[in-house]
Amino acid sequence: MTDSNSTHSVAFEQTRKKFGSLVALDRLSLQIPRGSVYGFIGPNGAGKTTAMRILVGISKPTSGTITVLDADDVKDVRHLIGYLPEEKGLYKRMRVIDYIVYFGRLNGMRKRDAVTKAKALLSEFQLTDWEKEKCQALSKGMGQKVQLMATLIHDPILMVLDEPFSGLDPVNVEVVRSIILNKVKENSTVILSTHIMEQAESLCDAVVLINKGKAVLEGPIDEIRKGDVVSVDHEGDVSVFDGLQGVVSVKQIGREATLQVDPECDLQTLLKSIFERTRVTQFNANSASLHEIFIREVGGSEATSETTADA
Amino acid sequence: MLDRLYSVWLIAQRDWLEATSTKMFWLGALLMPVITLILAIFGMFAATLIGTSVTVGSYYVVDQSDGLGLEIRNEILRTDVANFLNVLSDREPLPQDEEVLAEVHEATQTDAMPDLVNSFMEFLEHPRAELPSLTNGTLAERFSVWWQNNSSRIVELAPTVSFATYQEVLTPHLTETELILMLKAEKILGYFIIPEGFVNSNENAKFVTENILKQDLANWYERFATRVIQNKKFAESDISRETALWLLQRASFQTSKAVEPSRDTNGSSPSDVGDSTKEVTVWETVGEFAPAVYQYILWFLVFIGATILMTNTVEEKSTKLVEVLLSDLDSVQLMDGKLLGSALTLLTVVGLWIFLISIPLILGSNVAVSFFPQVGDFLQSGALSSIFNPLFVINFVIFFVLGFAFYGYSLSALGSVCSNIREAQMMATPINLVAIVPLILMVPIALDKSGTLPTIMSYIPPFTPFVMMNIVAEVAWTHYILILVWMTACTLGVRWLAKKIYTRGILLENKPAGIKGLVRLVGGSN
Repeated sequence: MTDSNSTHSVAFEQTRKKFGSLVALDRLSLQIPRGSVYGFIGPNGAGKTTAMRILVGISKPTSGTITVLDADDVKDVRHLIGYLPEEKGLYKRMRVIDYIVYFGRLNGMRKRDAVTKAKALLSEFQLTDWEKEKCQALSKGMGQKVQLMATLIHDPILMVLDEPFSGLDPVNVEVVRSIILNKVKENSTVILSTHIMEQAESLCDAVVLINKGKAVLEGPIDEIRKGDVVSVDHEGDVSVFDGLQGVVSVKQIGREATLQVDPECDLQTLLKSIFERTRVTQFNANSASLHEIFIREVGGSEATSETTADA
Repeated sequence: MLDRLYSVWLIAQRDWLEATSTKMFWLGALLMPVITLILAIFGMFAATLIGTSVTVGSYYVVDQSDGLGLEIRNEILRTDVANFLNVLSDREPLPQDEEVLAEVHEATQTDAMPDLVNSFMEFLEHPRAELPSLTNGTLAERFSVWWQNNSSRIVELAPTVSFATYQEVLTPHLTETELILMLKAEKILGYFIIPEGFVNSNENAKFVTENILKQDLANWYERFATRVIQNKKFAESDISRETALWLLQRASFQTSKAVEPSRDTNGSSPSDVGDSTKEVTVWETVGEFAPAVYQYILWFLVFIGATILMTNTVEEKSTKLVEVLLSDLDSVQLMDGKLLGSALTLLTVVGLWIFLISIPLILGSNVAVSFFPQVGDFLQSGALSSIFNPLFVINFVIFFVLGFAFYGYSLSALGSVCSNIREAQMMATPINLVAIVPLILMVPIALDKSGTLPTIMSYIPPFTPFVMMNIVAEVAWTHYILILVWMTACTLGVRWLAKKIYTRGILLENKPAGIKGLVRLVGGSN
């Protein structure tokens, strides 16, 4: 299974998940390359957690298939996956090292090996002094690091991290980032979900933007960002951009209009056409940030709306 | 397969270690038998205190008959004197005893008791004549003087004399108004009205009291009144009291139990009936209730354990720990592991209790016997072997496993669909109500173990473990095997349903709406 030369770790194929009448995931099809950092982005309730739960075998799709590490049944490769859920809990009365070792043993490790590995991880995460403390003594950030260690202890080749940065201070964010990057260097695949677009942009090789259970946008970051955004400060209203060749969409707030333009569009020709229609005081052409793409695709109001689809 | 079992064991081990590694666990587990022991000791002391320091209650008799009240008073007195003389007769006089008592003791050894009582009653009965001093006169006269002046000494020697408990107020001619005031002021417990013609009819005979639930005084007085009236009737019919009592004697059978008939040396014939039966002691009767006690403990453990299991499920769901666990295990493995962990925790508690109970009985039984002679009777009665009968112990384990699995899976499934403990408790209420039925019927079942009710109840899965524990010694092998197969099948069915509910329910943010929601969970996929 995992020895095959398949180029992807995970493949969703028309994967659908319904909870009663609610469609949490709607015919999701995507392939996640092996040895990459792959981001699941989208508003709350978009279906990211549902997709991740299906991926780790907690939930089963209503229809469609999912192949994980070349296995059709996730159960067969469960010991190769490390999962960190969005909400992170610990066994409060357990000692830190026992907690990490426990999850190692649940994933088939021998006790001695699990203890050795747990100590190494505690050292790496600079928590050696807390080894014998009970989990209830840990701060939130420390608790998250311990959870991450429990996810990593059995050296998974596929890591699924749901909001791994939430609640972490900048120092710990960097620690987690370096862990993720190190895992990728070892040819492991890391799938993460995040609300922080800057994180996704700087860390992920590819992302899928999920909204209302559907993949709205999917692909390598560079390709997704490809295409220009032009901001025009002018004296007319939004109608001056009607019918302009190469303009995909326009949004105007006050005097500033933001134009999504076709990648093939010649900006000089566009600028000339705009000059002919209105008085321009400022003209800027940039690549779109992931944040802007997110807002554009999802819509401001929906991006912050709360639903229960992630259930 | 072994990997799956190992994962189940890891879950169970963690839960067991976590539960048993707290001071609170050991404190709670130790406190339970200690509190029971303290309560038992307190009960024994309380019983002793009640026996030795009884508050005397007073009563009054309004006698509208031609002297029946006086005759009843004398009958009570006669009984007290006879009682006291019996005590003296059985007791060796001590050097510090009053001289008259030593003489009475001597008389009890030589004279017939009824004659002695009659001779004393001549001076004691009401209305009393003036008595000579203690140093002069016959023994009967001197004893009567001593009797009238030493009531506390009489009570000390013979605590069962009636005036240790009840005393008649002898003030003559109290009106009903005065008596009611005395009742309200709690100066008397009650008063009796003996109507005219009471010998022939109870009509208009009354016992007036403020506490209608406390009937011991009325029952006690009725006994003496009955005896006086009977004596009168016997006399009128020219029948002696002895003859009358002989005529009225009830047939009775001494409860005995059969023992293995012994055979003579050549093994050819069983010995006679006397050897094959044995009188049943009180402790042996107590031992007969051992299965009911096992049933109670079983019920208690199953419900404590299943409720803890449900609570843990809700907690792990709310902290999302269960999500991490389910990425490593199947939901069934997780449920099985948690069930096993809780069962081990409960069995640890039971083991500790057995240890705590056994140690003083084995090592310190002599000490216990010296403090409480009843313990000696208990140990010699064989009740201990009735209680620790292997049949009960083995079946306790079997039905604990089946009962705990049945209720544990059910409550785990309910816990998995709830977001908080309160919701879970609400959802578990119907199950708890059903499960309490065999507990309520525990004693009736114990008294008729092979009756229709226990037999029917033994086939109803929520009742089966508890009812079977109670009646296991009485059921036929075929019934027993059938029940085991049926209960195992039902438990596996519940496990299957629980798995369906748990797998989907544990991921739900909102609990499903009642039974319909649960049915939907069973029908759907995770």
